[in-house]
Amino acid sequence: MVTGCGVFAGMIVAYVRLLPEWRANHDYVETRCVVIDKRLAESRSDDGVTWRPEFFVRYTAGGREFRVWAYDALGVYSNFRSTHQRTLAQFTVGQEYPVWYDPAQPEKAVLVRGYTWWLFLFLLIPVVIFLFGLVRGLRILRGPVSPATAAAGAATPAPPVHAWAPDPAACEVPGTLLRVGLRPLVSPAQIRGLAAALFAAGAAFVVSGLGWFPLVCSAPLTLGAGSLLLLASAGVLVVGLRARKTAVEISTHPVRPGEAFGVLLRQQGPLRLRRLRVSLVCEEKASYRQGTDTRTETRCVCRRNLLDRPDVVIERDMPLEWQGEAALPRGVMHSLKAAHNEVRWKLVVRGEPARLPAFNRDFPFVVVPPAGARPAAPGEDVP
Amino acid sequence: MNEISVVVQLDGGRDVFWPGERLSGRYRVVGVGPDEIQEVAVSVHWFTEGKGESDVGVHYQEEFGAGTGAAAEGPFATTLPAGPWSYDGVLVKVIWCAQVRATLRRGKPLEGLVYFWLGDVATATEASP
Repeated sequence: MVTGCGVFAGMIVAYVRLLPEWRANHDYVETRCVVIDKRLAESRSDDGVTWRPEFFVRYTAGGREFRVWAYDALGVYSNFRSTHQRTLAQFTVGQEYPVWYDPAQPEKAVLVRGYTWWLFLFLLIPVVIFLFGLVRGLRILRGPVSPATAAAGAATPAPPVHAWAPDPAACEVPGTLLRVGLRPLVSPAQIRGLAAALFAAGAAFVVSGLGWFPLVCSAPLTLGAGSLLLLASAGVLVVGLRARKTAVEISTHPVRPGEAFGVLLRQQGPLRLRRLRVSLVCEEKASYRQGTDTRTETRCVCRRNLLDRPDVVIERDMPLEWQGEAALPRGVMHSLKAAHNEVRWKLVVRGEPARLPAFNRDFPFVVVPPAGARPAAPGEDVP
Repeated sequence: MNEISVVVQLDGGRDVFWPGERLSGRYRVVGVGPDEIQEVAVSVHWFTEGKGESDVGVHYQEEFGAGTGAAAEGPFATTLPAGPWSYDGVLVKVIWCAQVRATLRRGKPLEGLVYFWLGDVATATEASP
């Protein structure tokens, strides 16, 4: 489906936009013309006025004389008025210049040839859609591999044994009071938002200088990306303005089930909160395919409140510092990070401002399997 | 006549193990003559079940009789790794097994497997918000 859309969109872009330029560069016949007149042609619409340079030229093709307004093969109006005026100045009325005409329709001619660079941006969009669909399609055609079959048919050498264990160093930053600082998690939504922002900015830059046709063609993409941008920006803005800087440190890392460890929260102000909460959370995350989409589901399987403080006021120069202790329950699952399944431990700082939406800051950390975990059998001495 | 199958047994009849312990067992290809077995592959691995797509990690893999023909029965043994521990979660389940796959000179390959539990993680339930 996605591949089909990509091919279809590519065909439209190629036909409507690239084909005329390609034909002008390859099929058109060269001759000489005289520039009789020139003008800055205007196009008015609800969005304002756009322009393009045009030259009234006289040339002979197939024994017949033609007098037509011509410039390039694309015929697109844009709001780069000064650029168009410079183009007009390059041609002098009464002078002779090379011109290329369409042998199938000799009344169609161009004074300039070549390709317009931004067209390739348009072509990139269907190419990306096509490649995305192709990869997804191939994955679907290959089908799911049963765990038993995958293991039995696994090529030697076997995958590394510890491929399931996340790297503790990836969560760590230097601590100030406690041994390890935890790195806040950048949510996928924020990454998508930033990507959408870049895309929308690029698209807006290209489209703003062009006429109605590219604007209409790219509207679904730019509107979609723009909506994402707005949502992501609003989220980032709220978190940025309300949360200020949050830092979490712990006394030991990685942690083992049954272990207790110190926790430090440092929250910058100014901030006025109805409630401030720090929780120890374990969640499972599973991603799966539904049709051509990949979906992710998350479930919380352990939540312990370490701090739950109402009516918190933090002054600008007096950050809130709270130090406490967390204890991982015995018998809980350690951190697991496989391609489609994850068990993730984290400390979550949640602030609830008086009127604005609450913010959450996640600080993942790694729990490793207990060392020497074999329990003592009845009557057995464990060293 | 015996039904054609692969029987896998863990020594001591145990089904709970701890990281670092020795897991050993035997396989037996039943109902097939020794000349008919081309190759036997033994693997000890974990895989995930549940809502997500399955992930697999192979801990131990050994092939017997490649090219020369494998015996109809034999032992296998490995020291179990630190993890991942067996887990019965809400969305994610981690399952360990010893699997034997016998490739016959004629006919479809045969498979036999036995599940075991690594570690002592308690069954997880969804936490209230």
